[in-house]
Amino acid sequence: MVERLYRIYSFFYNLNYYFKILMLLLLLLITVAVATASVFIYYPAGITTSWVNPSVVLLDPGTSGVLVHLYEDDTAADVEVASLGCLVLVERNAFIYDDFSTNPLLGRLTVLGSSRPGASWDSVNQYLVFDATNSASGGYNLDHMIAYYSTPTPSGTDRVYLMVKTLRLSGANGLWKGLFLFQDVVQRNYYVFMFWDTPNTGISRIVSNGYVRLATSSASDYGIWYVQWGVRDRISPGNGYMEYKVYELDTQNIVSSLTATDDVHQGAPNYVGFGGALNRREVLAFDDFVACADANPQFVNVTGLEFGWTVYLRDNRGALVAQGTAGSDGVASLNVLTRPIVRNARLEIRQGNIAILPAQSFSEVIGGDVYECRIKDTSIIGLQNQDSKDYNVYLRVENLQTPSGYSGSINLWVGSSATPIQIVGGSVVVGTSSTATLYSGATAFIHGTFSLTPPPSTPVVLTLSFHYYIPSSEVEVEYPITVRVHG
Amino acid sequence: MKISALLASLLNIALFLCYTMEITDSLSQRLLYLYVTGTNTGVRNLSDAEVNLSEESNTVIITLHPYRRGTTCYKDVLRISNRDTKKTYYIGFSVDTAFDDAAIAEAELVVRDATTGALVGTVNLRSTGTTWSPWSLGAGGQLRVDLRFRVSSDASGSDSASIQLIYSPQSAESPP
Repeated sequence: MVERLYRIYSFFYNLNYYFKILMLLLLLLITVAVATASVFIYYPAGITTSWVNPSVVLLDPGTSGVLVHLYEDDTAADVEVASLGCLVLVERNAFIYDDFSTNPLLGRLTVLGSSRPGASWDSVNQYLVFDATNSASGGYNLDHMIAYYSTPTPSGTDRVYLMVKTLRLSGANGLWKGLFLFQDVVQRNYYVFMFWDTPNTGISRIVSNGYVRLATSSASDYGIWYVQWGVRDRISPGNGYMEYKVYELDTQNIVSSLTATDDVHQGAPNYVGFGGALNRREVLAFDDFVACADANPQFVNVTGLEFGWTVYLRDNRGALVAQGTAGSDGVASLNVLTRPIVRNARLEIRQGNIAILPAQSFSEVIGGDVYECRIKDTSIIGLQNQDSKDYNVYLRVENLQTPSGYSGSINLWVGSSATPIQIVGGSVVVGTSSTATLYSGATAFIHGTFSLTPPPSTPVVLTLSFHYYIPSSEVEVEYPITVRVHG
Repeated sequence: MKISALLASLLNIALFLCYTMEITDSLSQRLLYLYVTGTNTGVRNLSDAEVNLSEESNTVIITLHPYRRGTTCYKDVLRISNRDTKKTYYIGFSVDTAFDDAAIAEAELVVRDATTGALVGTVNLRSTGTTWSPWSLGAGGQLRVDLRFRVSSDASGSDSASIQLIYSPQSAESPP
C-alpha cells in the first residue's frame, strides 16, 4: 500500500509543471462538481391497515314517498324522493273583496240613497268616497246611503264576516258610517253596524223606515282611519249572534266592541255592503272591503307547517305585511287586519334564518285565505350508532345536478343540526350542514324539505357525503348518499 | 489510458466521500423532523390508530384500522417540520411497497400546509413509485400528513405498505 502511494507521489513529482497545473485544475473541477451534487435523504415509514366493522349504519326510515336503497353493508344509499310541491291556496273564503283599485261603481257595487248620493271613486287614492256636502238627503231608509254588492252570500254559509276601512274626511257631530247586512234589499230589511263621530257605536235592526238599537257603546272618531269588523251567525246554533268591533288602523287598538243577538231578519246577510248617514254634510272614504264565508278575514292561515316555522307575507315591493309562526297544530295565522287584500303578494316560509320555502308569488292574498304547506320535514335516511362512543355527524354536498327551468329549495340536515344544507334553484347556498351529536346506541335521521316549482321533468340529483367522527379525534368516516328529487 | 482510469477512480472516491459527509452533516444538524401532534399517537380514538416514531424522529410506524366500508380519513397523522432557520427543503415520497389488497379501493397520503390546511399534494399508496414534484418546505415551516382509505370489503382484513419520505436541499434534480 505504501509502495502504491509512493508510486502515485513519484508520478506527480515527475510530471512537468504544466501538467501538474492541469491535474490541480482537474481536481478542483471534480471538487466543485461534488459540492453541487444532488443529495437526497430518506426517512422510512411503514403503514399497516386492518379494516374493521363500521360503527354507524344507515337505515331505511320507511317514510311514505321515500324509496331507499341501501348497499355496501348499509353504509351507502340511493334515495328517491318525491317533491311534495309547495304552498297551495286551498280555501278562498272571501266571496267579496274590493280594494277599489278599479272603479266599483261600474257594475259590481250598487249605491242606494237619494237622487244625488255623491258616491264617487277616487282613482288616485283608490278608495270610494261618499260626499253628502251637497245636502243630499233622505232618499232611502233613515237617510242611509248604502253601497251593496251584487254578489250574494254563498248558500250554506253559517257565518258571514265583514271588514271595511273608513275615514271621515270632513263633517262631525252625529254622523256615522258602517257595515250593512241585508236580509232583503227590496224590502229594506237589514242590520247595520254603526260608528258615529260622536261617542257611540251601535248594532241596529232596520225594518223599512224603522229601527231598533240592539246594542250601543261609547267610542269617538278622531278623523283617522279605522277598521270596522263584524260577524253574524246566519243559522243555528248561533243564529242571530252578532259581534262588531272598531279598531284604529295604525295601532290596531280596539276602540269599541259590541255583541247582540237578534234573529228577526233570519238568514241575514244575504247581501252585504257599507255606507253611512246621508244628510249630515259629511264626506267619508271607504277602502278594503272584505266579506268572508265562515272564515275571519282578519287572518290568513297557513296549515301543514312544522312547529316553529314562520310564514311571512310581503307585498310586491317586499315590504312585510304580516307574519305568523306555527304552533304545535302546524298552523300559522297571519293577522292582516290592516291590509286584508294584498295584490302580487309573496309568501315565504322560514325556520330562523333558514329558507324552508323561498318567496312564492301569488296574484293576491286575501284575508280568510287558507294555504296548505305541502313541504314536509321528511326523514329520508335513518342513522344508527352501534358504537359505545358518541359521534359528531354532518352532511356535505359533493355534487348537484339540476334540470333547467326549475326553481325552489331543498334543505337537508342531520338530527338536530341548526344549519342545513341549503339549495336554492341550481345553486348550493350552504354546502355543509352544521354538526349534530349521534349518541352511542342512538338512532337519528337525515331530514329534508323539498319544494320544487314547477316540479321538474327530470330529477334533481344530489350527491352527498355523510360524515361522522369522535369530537376529540381527527379521524373521520364518510359514506356516500345519492338523493334524487322527483317532481 | 492509465491516466484516464486514475482520474475516474479519483472522481468516484471524491463523490462517495462528499456524499457521505453531506448525509452525516444533515443528520447531525437534524434540520428536518417528523413528529406527531398527539391526536393520533398512542391514543384510542375512532378506530384506535397508532403512530410510533423512532427515537431519532426519522422512522415512523403507523398502524390504522379503517372501517371496511366507506372512506376513513386520518387527519394530522404526522408532521414534517423544517427546523432550519434559513434553508428551504424539498419534499417527496417514494412508495416501495404499495397496498395491493383488492379490498382497498383507494389509499392516499395527503400533504397539507400545517398552518393553513391548504392542499400541497397527494401520493397514491396503491402503486409503487416516487412522487417528486417536489413540495417545498420553507425555513421553520411545517407540513401535515393525512391518510385516507376507501375500503370495500365484506369481511375484516389487513394490508401493509412501506414508503419513504425524501427530502433534499435542492429541487432541480429528481431522486435516483
